[in-house]
Amino acid sequence: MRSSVIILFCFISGVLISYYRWFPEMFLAVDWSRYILPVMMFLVGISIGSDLKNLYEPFRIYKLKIVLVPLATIGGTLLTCLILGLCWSAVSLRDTIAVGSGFGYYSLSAVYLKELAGSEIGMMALISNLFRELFTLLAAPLLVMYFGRLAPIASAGATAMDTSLPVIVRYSGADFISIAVFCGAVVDFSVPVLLSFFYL
Amino acid sequence: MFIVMIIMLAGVAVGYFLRDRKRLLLKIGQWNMTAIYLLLFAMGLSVGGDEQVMRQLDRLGGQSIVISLCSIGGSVFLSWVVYICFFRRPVKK
Repeated sequence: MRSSVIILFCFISGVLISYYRWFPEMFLAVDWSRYILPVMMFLVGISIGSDLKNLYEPFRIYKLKIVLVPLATIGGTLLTCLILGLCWSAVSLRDTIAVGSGFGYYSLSAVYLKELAGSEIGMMALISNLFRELFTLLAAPLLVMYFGRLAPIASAGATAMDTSLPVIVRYSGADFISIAVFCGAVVDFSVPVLLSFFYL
Repeated sequence: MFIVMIIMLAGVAVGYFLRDRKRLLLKIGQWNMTAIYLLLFAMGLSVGGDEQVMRQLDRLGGQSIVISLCSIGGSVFLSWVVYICFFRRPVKK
C-alpha cells in the first residue's frame, strides 16, 4: 500500500513538473522511460529467476487445475473487454482490449502501448492498470467474502506476485500464496505477448 | 519492444545463478522498486508535456476506469466459477 502511494506521488509530480515546465526544456524533451524500462525488466527477470521453484512447486500441490486460475484471469478480462469494446464507440475495440490486457501491470503496458498505439492509449493503460492494483489492495477482503478466495488473485492479475501479494496472503490465506505467485508470473509474461500480438 | 523481453529472459538466467545470494537479491528488489518510481516519474514527465493528452485528462481517466472495472469484473467472475468447481473443499458433514 505504501509503495502504491509513492508511485502515485512520483507520477503526479512528474506530470506537474512537465506541465508547468519547472525543469529545463532539454531535460523534458528526452523520453526517459525508454531507458528505464529495460533496466527494470532485467531486475524483474532476476527476481523471477532467483525463485524459479515458486513456478513449479504449485503443480505438485494442486496438479493441473492450477492452470485454470491464470486462464480464468486472462480469459475473464479479454471477454469483458471484448464485449465492452463491441458496444462502445468511444474507444476502438483493439485499444479497449489492449488497455485491459495490462492486467494491472501499468509500468510495462503503459510504455508498450505508448509506443504501439500513441500517448493517449498509453495514458489510459497507466490509469486503468494503476486503478486495478489500487482496487485490489483496497477491495481484497470484500472480494474474498463475495467471490471466494481466488478472487483477489484474479483481480490482482499480474501484480499477484509482487505488490498485491501481501494482501492476498492476508485475506485469501497463506496456503494460496503459491497459486498467487504462479498466476501472477503467468499473467505477467502474457502482457507483452498479448500486446505485441494485438498490434502486429 | 521484442528486445525488452530478451533482456527480461537474460535477467531470469542471471537470477537463477544468483539464487543463493539472498542479501544481494534483497538489494535488487529495492533497486527494482526505485526503477519503478523513476519510470513512473518519467511517464509523468511525458504525459504532462503532452498538451493534447492533458486537455482530455478527465475523459481519458473516466474511460480508463470503466475498462479497469470491466476487466476486474470478468476476471473475478471466472475465478469464482473456477473456485466453486475446483478449489472449494467439500463441506464436512
